[in-house]
Amino acid sequence: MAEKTLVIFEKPIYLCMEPVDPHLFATAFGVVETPVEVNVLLRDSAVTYAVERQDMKGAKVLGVDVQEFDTNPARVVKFMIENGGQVYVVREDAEARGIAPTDLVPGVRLISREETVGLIENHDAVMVW
Amino acid sequence: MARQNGAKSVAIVLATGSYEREAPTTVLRLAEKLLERGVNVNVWAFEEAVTLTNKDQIDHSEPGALQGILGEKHSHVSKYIDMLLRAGLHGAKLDWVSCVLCVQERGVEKHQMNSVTIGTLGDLWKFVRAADRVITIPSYR
Repeated sequence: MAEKTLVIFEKPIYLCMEPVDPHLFATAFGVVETPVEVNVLLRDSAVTYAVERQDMKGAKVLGVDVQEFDTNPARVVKFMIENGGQVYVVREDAEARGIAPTDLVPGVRLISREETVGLIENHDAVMVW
Repeated sequence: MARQNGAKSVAIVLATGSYEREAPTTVLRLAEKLLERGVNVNVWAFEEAVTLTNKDQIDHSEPGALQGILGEKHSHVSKYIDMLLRAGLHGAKLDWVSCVLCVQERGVEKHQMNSVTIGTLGDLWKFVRAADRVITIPSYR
């Protein structure tokens, strides 16, 4: 049985008419509402999900907000951490995009690309979005 | 045929479906600005993009455990398309055409919004030929 699952995000999705990337909130649901231990690895461009101070409120069509509720991926990342999920960010991928450790949601763990191998080995199942 | 100065007609070919990418949102925002500038817009929805105009979409509630971070519910994309089509009634014109083959494949032919036209590949090429500018967004965007 896959009691411990690692969910990997590679490409971020913004402003898709959902409050956040549906894969991200499905993962948050796993963290908070199921007995499965769900942890998250953000790599490639998806490292932006852990960046604080994201703001989607400028996006409108004919004056109507594309996102009615003020949310963003960082809020979901913070929520998962608060509910026991571990969120890892690949340091090299963050650095390549000019993202400093101080830009990230508190509690996010920076790991090297090489360390991701051990992370995968330590989980029963891996889901890649 | 292409004009030297100032586009008056833009064809947008969109193949991205609902709720999976940013491209449909970008197309809606772009269409709004083009209409504001008096540019006629023809959107030709192809592949998964034909689901954007499914009239049976409804606002749905978010899971209770996540409502604190996501809100109670969110609206659907067809609402914004309907708003833009209505905006086009009083100025530059927006036509939204869904590919007949794509709606039939997906079983959504009878579910298209009333203001949407179901068209053929021939319509696509007529739009392209008539346009001053053509923007194509593939399904992986």
